[in-house]
Amino acid sequence: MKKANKYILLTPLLLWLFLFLVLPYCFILAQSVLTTDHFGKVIYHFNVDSYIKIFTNALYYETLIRTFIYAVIVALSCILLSLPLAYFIAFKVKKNKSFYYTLIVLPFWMSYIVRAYAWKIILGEQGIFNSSLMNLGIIEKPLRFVLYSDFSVILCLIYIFLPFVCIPIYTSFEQISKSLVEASKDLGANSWSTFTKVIFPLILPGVISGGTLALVLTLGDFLAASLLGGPNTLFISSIVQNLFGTSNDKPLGSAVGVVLLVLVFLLLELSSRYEKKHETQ
Amino acid sequence: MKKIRSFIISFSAFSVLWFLYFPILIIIWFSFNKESVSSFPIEHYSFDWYIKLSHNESMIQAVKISFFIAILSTIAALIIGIPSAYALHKYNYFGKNLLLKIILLPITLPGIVTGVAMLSFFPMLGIPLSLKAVLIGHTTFLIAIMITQILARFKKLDPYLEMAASDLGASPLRVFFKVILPNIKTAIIGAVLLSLVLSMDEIPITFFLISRDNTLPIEIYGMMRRGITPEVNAVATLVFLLSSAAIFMSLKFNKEN
Amino acid sequence: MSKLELKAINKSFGSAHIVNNLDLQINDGEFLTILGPSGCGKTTTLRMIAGFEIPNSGQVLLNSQDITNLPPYKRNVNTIFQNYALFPHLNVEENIAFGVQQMKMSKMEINKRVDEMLELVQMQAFKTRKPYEMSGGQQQRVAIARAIAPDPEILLLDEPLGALDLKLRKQMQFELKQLHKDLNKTFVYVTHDQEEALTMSDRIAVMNRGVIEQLSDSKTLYNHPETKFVAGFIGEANLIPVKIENKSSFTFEDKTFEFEHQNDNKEAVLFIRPENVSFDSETDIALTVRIEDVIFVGNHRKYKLVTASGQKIIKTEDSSLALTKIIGQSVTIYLSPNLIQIFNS
Repeated sequence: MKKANKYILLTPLLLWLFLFLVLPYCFILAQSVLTTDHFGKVIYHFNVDSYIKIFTNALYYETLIRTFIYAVIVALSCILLSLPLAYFIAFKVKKNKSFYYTLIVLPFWMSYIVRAYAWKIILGEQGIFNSSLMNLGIIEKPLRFVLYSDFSVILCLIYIFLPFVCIPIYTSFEQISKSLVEASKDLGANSWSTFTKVIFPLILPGVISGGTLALVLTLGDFLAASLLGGPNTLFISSIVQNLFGTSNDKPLGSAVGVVLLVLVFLLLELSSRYEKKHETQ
Repeated sequence: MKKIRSFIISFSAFSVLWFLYFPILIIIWFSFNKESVSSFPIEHYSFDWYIKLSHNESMIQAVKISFFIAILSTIAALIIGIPSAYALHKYNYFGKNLLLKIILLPITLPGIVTGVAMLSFFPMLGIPLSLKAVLIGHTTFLIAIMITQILARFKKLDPYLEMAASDLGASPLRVFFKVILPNIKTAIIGAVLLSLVLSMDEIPITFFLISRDNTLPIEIYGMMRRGITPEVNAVATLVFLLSSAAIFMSLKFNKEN
Repeated sequence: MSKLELKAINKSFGSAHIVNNLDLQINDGEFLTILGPSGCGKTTTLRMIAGFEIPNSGQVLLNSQDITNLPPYKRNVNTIFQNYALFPHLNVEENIAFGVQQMKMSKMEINKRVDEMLELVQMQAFKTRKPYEMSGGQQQRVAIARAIAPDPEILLLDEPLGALDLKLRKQMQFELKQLHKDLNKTFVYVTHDQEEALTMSDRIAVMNRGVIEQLSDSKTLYNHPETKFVAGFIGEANLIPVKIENKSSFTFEDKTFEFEHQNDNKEAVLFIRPENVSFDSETDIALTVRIEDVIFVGNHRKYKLVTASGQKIIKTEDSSLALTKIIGQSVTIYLSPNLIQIFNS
C-alpha cells in the first residue's frame, strides 16, 4: 500500500512531462535529420543536410559565432554593472536592505516587452537620447545607429538581463561573513587586496552563475532583435524563428535549435562543474 | 581616500539603479503625452491614450484571454505540482535527479527551443495550434515553477511533524491535509502569484503555439512591431503598475509569515 | 504476559547492523528506560516500537498481538519527541485534541478530554497560545499532554529532556515520574544520561552496539554490573587490567591474589567502585600505590592513585573525613572481595 502510493503520486507528473515535454524535445531531434519538399512539408527521409548546412554556410555559423560574442558582451556588461550595486547593498546598506533588494527584483518580474519597448522611445531619432544630445549641442543630427541596430539590441538585452545577473551576485556577497573581511584587514591587507584576495574569490560562483544565465538567455533571445534590430541584425534565435515561420524549413530550424540546445547544455555543465569545484558553503 | 572610494561605490550603485528604472519612468511619463509622436520634450499632457485603450477591442480581448490562460494553467500546475513535490520530497526514486532536471527544462532551456519543439509535436497528438496548445505549454513550464517553490518549502519543514501526526493516529491522507498542507500554505500562495505573473508575461513559448487569438503580451508585441503608438505606453504603464502591486502583495505576504 | 515484547529484533541500515537479535519484555505499568551511548541502537529500537521503522526480522508484540508491520497510525502507542514536534499552525488546545479527533468521540467529549489534559500538565492558561509563543519547557508539557490524550497503551519518550537546561531538566524528571505514578501507564524512556535513568526508572536496559548488556533495576546495575561496559557506563568505575591463570585467582603486577570468579580468558579486567577502595579495612587484596593528586569535588574528595606499573586508580571519600594523606605519599589500598568483579576484556 505504501509502496504503491510512492508511484501513484508521481504518475500524473510523469505522464504529463513525457507527452508534452520529453516527446516534443525528442521530436525536434528527430526532425533535424529530415528534409522538406518545395512546399515546406516535412519528408521522412533521413539525412544530415541541415547540419552540414549550418557548419558550411556562412550565414549560419557566422551568426552563431556573432550571437555568442554578443552574449559574452551582454554577460560581461551585466556583471560589471551588477558588482557595485550588489556590493553596495550587501556591505554599505545597514537598514532597509530588503527594500533595496526588492528594487533589484522588481524589474525582473515586469513584462519583458514593456522593458524592451522603453528603449525604442529613448533611442529613437526624436527620442530622449538624441534630443538631449542635440539640445546640448554635442551633435547636430540625430545618431541613427543607436536604434534599429545591433547596438540597440545589445543595450536592451543588458538592461533586461541585469536583474537576472545581479541577484545571484548579490546573494553570494551576502553570504560572505563580515568576520572574513575583518580578519583580512587584521592580517594587514588593505581594502583593494581584501577585495581581490578574499571577497572576489568568494563571489566568483555567483558571478559565474549569473554570467552563464545571461549567456544562455541572450543565445535564446529573438524578441529584442525583432523589436530593436535593424535590417542587418541577425541573432541565431531569430534564424530559428524565421525557419519555423516565413521560411518554413522545419528540419533546418530544428537542427539550428538542436545546435543551440547542445551549446546551452555545454555552458550549463561547465558552469555547474566550476561551481562544484569552488564550493565554499 | 576611503571616503572617495565609498562615494564612487555609492555613486555607481545608484547609477545602476537609475539605469534600471529610468526607462520605466520614461514610459509612464510618455503615456500621458497628448502627441502621438514620441518627441522630447513633451508639449501637452492628457489621458487620451488610456481612454483610447479602453476602447481597443482586440486589446481587451487579449487581456481576457491572458487571464483565462493564466488562471487555468496555474490551477493545472497546482494539481500536478503539489502531489509531485510531496512525493519528490518524501521518497527516493531511481533517477530522481534526472527527473528533477527534466522538470526544470522549460526554465533552463531558451523558451524558443521549447516553443518550436511543442509546435512541431503537438499536432501529432491531435493538438493543433490554438489556445489549447498555449494552455498546455504554459502549464508545463508552470509545473517547473510550482515544484521548485514548493519543494524548497518542504525542505524547511520539520520532519517530525509528519511523524507526530502519524504517531497520534492520522492516516497518510489526513496527515497531508491536516498537517502538511497548512504548513506549506504560504509557499503555495507565493508560487500561485508568481505563476500568474509569469504566465501573463510569457512570450517565446506562446508565440509558437497561438493561432488567431492573442494573449496580452503577444498583442502588445504585435503593436510594438508595427510602430510606436502611445497606446502602447499606456498599456505598458498599466502592466507595470499591476505587476508591482502583485509583487508587493506577495512580498508583504511572505514577510508576515 | 508482558505488555510489550520485542522478540529477536534485527535492524540494519545498509551494511550497518544497528540492532542485533534483541529480546526485551516490558511489564504493564512499569517505567523502563533504554540507556546507552549514541549509536547503540536505542532510538532505532524505540522507533520500531512506534512504527517508524520496520525490523528486518523479529517481532513486536503488544498485549501479545503482533504489531510488527503495522504503520504508526494504527498502533495504540504514542511518542513524545525531543524537539516536541508541536504543530505550528495549531494552538495548544488543537494540538492536544489532534490525536483524540481520530477516535470516534463527540465534540463535547473531545473538549472534556483536552481540558483534563491541560489540568494534568498545568497548562490551562495557555489554551489558545501558539507553539512559537511558548518556552521550551511549556512546549514540552503540551507535547506530553498531546501524547497522553488519546490514552495510548504505551507512552514512548525519545530523550524528551535533551533540549532543556539543567534546572528545568531536573524539575521535568520529577514531574514525569509523578505523572507516571498518577497515570499508571507503561512508559518506555530513551536516554544517554545515566543519572537520569537511575533516578527515574523501575528497570533499565543498558544497550551497547545493538544488544542489551544488562536489564535490571538501578541498584543492581550499580552494585552488580554484569559486563565491563555496564560497569564503566554506570557511575564511575575503576577497570584494572589483570591476568588470569585459573578460576580461583588473578594476577596483577606479578602478584597473585586468591579470588573465585567465572572467567577463563587470559586477559580480564578487575572492577571496583572508587568509593569502595579503602585505606584502612585490611583485606588480602592489597596494592601499593602512590598518591598523585587529591582533588576537592564539593561533597567528596577524589584521590588519583598510581601503581608501580603506572596503572591509575581512583578512590573517593566523603569530604567531611579528615585528610590524613599528602600528595606524593606511598600508601596501601585494600580491595574487598565482596565489592570487586572480574569481567572479560
